[in-house]
Amino acid sequence: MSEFNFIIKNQNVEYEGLFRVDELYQVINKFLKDLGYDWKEPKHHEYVGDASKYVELRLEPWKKVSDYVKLVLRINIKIYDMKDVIIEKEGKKINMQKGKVVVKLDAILVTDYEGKWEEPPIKYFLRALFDKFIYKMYTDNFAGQLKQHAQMLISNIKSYLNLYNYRFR
Amino acid sequence: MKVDLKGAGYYEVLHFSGYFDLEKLYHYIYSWLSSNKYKYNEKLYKQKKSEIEWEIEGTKKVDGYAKFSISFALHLYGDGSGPTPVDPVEVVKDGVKRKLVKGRVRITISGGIETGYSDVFGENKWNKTYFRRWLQNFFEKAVLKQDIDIKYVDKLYYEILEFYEGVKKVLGMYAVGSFY
Repeated sequence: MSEFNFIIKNQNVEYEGLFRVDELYQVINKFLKDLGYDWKEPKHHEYVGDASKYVELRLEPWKKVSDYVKLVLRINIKIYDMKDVIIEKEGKKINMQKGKVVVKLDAILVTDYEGKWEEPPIKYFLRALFDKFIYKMYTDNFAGQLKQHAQMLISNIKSYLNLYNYRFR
Repeated sequence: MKVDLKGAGYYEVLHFSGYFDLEKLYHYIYSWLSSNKYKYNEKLYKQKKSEIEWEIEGTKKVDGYAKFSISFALHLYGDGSGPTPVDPVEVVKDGVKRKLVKGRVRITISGGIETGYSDVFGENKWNKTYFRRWLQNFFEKAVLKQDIDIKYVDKLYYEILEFYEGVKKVLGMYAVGSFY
């Protein structure tokens, strides 16, 4: 089995207020496309109730950086009590949504993603040696890269949701 | 040989609960598959008191060696109070009256690639003798490995994403607008 190293675990962004779901989705989608990630959307739930709506998304974009290492960002988005609202901005009516958004992000460095170094045990042992002493510099470099991508993504989401307005100065 | 994209983790699952246009969804699937040169095959249509199970497969010969297939599986749960699992109701949306159905739906979209596929008579030339099977195995692992990943798997996966995005738009979901 491939080895999963969590570089960032459960980084949270919470927001309550006005936003547009499609724009939030597009901010994430476009940012990851520009970084060369492949898109994977293993879960997409939308429940439209009488009073409010609930949206849940799990995105797992990934990028193969070498034959041995893969970068994966696991993004969980949950939107509670969502309601459609129409606001007026500069004389124009705009459809928006109002609700509570919770974004959770994990950044995972996957090594041996094709599972070529699992068996026999000698191969597994060699992999551990290789990981620890020879390839460590490269793995650390990829981990740094992944961490940077995750932080850039979080700051993009925060910028979109206008959260920096409330930053302590 | 077959490459199953679902087995490799390339698949999309949608859950939606609310009002949607089932007829429009059917038209979209048919028109998307035919405009992308896929042969349409309805593998299953099962209707129970409050459920509909529906499976569609589209297949396309990409070249002389590989064939793509896209599978679409829908499981619809209605309330079952009427004569059909999901009875259309009239809904006014943006000032326009439309007939929509209300229910819970689970859609799985995936695909597969068949290399060295059988001809029209069902005869697979790569599978005839042991040597040919070995040759195909060697050919795909040593010569065509990169080609299969880039030329076939990637292409099919992006087609699936395009199809998936269209299905989301037809269902009227919120999180749409992929750039892929």
